[in-house]
Amino acid sequence: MEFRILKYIGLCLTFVVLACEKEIEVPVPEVQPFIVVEGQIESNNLPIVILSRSAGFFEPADLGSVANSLVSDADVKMIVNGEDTIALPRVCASQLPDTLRERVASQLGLPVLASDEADFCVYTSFDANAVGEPGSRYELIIEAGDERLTATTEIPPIIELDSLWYKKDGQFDTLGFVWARLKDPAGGYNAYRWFAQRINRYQQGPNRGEVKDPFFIAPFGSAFEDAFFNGLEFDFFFNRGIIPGSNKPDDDGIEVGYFKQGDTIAVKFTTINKESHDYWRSFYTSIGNTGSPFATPTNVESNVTGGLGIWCGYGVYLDTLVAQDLE
Amino acid sequence: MGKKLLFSVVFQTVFLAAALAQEWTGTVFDEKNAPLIGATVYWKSAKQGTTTQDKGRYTLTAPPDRGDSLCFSFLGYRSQCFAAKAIPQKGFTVTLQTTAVTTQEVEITGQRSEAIRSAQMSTTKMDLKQIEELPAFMGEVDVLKSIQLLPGVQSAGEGNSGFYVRGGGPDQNLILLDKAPVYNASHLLGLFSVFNHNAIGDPTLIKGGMPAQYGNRLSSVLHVPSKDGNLQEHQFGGGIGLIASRFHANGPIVKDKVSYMVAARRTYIDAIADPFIPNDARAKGSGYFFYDLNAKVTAKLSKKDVVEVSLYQGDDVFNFVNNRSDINIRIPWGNTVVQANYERTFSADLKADFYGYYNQYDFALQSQFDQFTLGINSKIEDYSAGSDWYYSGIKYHNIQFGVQTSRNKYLPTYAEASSAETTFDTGDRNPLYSNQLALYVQDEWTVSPLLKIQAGLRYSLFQHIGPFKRFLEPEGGNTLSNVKLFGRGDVIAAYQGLEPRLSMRLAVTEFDAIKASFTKNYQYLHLASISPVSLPTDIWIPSSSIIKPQEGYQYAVGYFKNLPDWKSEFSLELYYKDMYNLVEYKDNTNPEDNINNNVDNQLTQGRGYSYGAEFFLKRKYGNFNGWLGYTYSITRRRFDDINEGREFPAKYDRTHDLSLVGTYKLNEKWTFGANFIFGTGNAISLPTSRYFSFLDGRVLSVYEGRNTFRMPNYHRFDVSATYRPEPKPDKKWRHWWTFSLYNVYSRQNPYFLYFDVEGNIASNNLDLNAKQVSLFPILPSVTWNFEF
Repeated sequence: MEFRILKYIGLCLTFVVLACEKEIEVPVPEVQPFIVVEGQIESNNLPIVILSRSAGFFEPADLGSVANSLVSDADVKMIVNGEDTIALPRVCASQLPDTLRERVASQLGLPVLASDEADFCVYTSFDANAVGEPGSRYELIIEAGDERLTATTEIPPIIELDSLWYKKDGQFDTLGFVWARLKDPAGGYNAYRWFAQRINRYQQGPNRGEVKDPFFIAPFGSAFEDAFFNGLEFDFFFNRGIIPGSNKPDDDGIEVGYFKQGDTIAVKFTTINKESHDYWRSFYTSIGNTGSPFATPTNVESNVTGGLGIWCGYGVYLDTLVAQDLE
Repeated sequence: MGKKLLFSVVFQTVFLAAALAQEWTGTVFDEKNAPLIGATVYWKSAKQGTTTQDKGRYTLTAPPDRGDSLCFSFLGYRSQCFAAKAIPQKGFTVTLQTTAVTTQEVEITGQRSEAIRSAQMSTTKMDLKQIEELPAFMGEVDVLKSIQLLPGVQSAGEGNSGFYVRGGGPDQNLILLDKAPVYNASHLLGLFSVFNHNAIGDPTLIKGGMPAQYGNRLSSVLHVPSKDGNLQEHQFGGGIGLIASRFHANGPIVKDKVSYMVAARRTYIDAIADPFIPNDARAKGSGYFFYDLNAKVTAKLSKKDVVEVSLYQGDDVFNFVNNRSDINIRIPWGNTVVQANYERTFSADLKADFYGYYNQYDFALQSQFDQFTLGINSKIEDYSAGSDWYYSGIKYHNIQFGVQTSRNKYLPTYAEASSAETTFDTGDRNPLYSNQLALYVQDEWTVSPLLKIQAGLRYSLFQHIGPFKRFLEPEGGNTLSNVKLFGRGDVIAAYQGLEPRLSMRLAVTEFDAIKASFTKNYQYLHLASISPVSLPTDIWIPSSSIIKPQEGYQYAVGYFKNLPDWKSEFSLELYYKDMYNLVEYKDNTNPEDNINNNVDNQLTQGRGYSYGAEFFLKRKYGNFNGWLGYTYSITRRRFDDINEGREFPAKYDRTHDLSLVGTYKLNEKWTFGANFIFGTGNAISLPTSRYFSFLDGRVLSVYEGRNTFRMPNYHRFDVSATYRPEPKPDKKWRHWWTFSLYNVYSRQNPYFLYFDVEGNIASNNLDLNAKQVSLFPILPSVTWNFEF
């Protein structure tokens, strides 16, 4: 915390005033690509596994190239509690009707699935036994060519929030954050990840008529563990998450990071295990460190053996509120 | 040929023998009994001589002609000459009187300098007067930035006063204010040093062949003496610069016996900006300032007893306020050093210093947002006492011995946090206590006219003692730590060792010498820094049962030559340094990992080495002064837990490092200064590949190898001009202007590089590119100084 604040001091005192930035050429050596696993299994939901390959930093990064980075010939299976083995076949967006594509893209939080410019594929299963259950352990086995990757996760027991409310921030009349009260179970380790989605529509502006958030968005730094509040009951808040690269009017300027009075907000509060927490913490650290002279560059941690990425189980608690400051 | 060589050696030996046997020593004071540093002492007919050093002392060889006269000269003082036969050869003191008429400084030649005479090598004493006339960053004269211009010393970054010596880390420099170490020697995230040049004397840097009296650091000693007050009359002075102002005063409390010195400096950006910020501005009330206060009282109780008591207090304070969101953050950090020294001269051959000091470094953060509060504190307290003895009663031997003890308390990180009525479990205060003891003895032995040896032995002992709470790594799949409690006084870890030091000088001719040195050092205190640059949040942590003492070995040889015709001296030094148990954070450590845990659980230790060649040509006398320094060096590190155990270049591995520094005195009114710096770009880690996170919509970087990239080379040219209007006769008031241009050709030097990601994949406008951030373009500054 202190370290992060000092970053801002440095920025305030020196860089903003005097620093200048320019693009330069840096030759990057050729490197062997890694297979990257992005897999999740939520309670009461199907598993989704996306496999891609890393690329040289300055290789083309358009939609077509990103689509080509997906691994299409892998054999993926999931073992539940060390017993049931379930195959996760590949399902591509082109196999779905257009209306279903958008719905699936929204539900999975994968807007690229709805793209017309490329055909994105995921590995999943519609087997009823593949639906996630709290307390279960899931082992993922991936075989792609000569490479074999494994990862194990679990869905921790669901922990419900005690209450949720909206509170305006300081002197703002219509902007604020979503607050929550959590009673952390005493004893063992607990970690959490927070998502929220504004499910009401824009009433005006260029995005009029659109649902404000097309899917659940995790704000920056959305994962936290109970190292400092094991067994305690306390209030906390999160700012509004933004889809990276968004150019909507409320994702820029004074409203950025705020919910607005009157928003209808769905909250997805999830429990995760320690490996998943460490992945997400290092994920946000890695992104936050980019462009900072005060940060040591580090790789994102992984629970995947033989590759990069995460296989993450979520115990999901859902709730909804309307943003009205009651104070 | 052989006979000629033999004759030459014999002749020179005889010559040197005669010279060494007749060393002339003494001290020069001004009329107020304050030592004059930099006064010229020379033989009148031969025009050979030297300048006075620390505390006004001089040493020079006897004149070729016994009938010669010894003269003393200093700008603004009346010169005096004495027949050599009429004054004592050793311990002569002379007092120079001020004169209203400015006399021309005497140019002297042909005297063997300290660099040739002494067995000590790798040592440079900086001339503060010259430093004051060199270009100054934002107009603030900074001794730490000036020593970065010496060969073997590298800057920690653009505009930064941190420094690295011969491949050592920033924690391996022992920065001493008189007898006490300064833990955080910079302000404003390293941009300015804590040393106010109005409060100090000439600084000395020792980067190799460390004498046995110094220890607990592997790489260097920077000794900064504080100034003594005037014993005769009150003097005042100060300066007004772009970012800070200074004021100093000194004078007698009891004439000829007790003097005082006070110097203060403060930045005022916050005070100047505040009236221009509207009351309803979001950040109204935010600001930053730093200040320094130096104070010293010196009492000459008798000719044999001198007592000095001094204080340094310096703080940085940052305030951030967001009035709209009710956010308040306050971050103060700083040093306090209180010290006392009693100097007793028992006889002409024996004297001793008895000293004690209290040293504190404190960092705090207090923040509040809505119902959340967070407080973080980190602190060092150091209580030390010691005694240094100097004995010269045995012919050809100068013996020094002493003892140093200290009791230390380190609080690496302590946090308190709450949300409304709920107090988070951030653990108890868990400081580390240590006891340290060092004994040393050292002898500078003039074995023969040709050979001088400085041999020393230091014994050091370190104990980590209780009370202490040790957090043990979780076992058996448990994610919670176990703890082990140690009681008060329990010895948790103890280390000790002998540190031999050896330097020798072989005089080849009167003006040439070859030197060699070997040192072994232990360092029981480590600086743990998560960031690649030094920050006030860096944590000093002592050795423990997990962290072993750092261990360093340095071997150096050098050739030193006086060039009388050029009024210059030259040296070439080669060094090799091996370092063990260096300290780094493990990969992926976050600052919060230190809370409710032991910092050393997050650290890892490894090895490093450095070797290089340093070339130094310095012109010491005349209207044109300056030096050329060049260093070629290689610095590597290897840690089992970093870079998969493979060797990597240290961040400050700088293959080529060049400094060209000069001042030119055009006339009594104008003096000009300039420096040019060139350095190989720092080693840096950059991603080699990346992948796209489909679940989060972001691009993630993959790093393979630590410090495998290089930033572009660094170079910069600075100039300065000092204008001194002619002082009015019989008036004490003097004032002068210093103008500086930093980075004259506005070179965009790299401060750091990063690979940037803009746009998003869903919109198919992802843009990846490499960016270079540069800090300071051309920066003009002006400072007005005064004295009365």
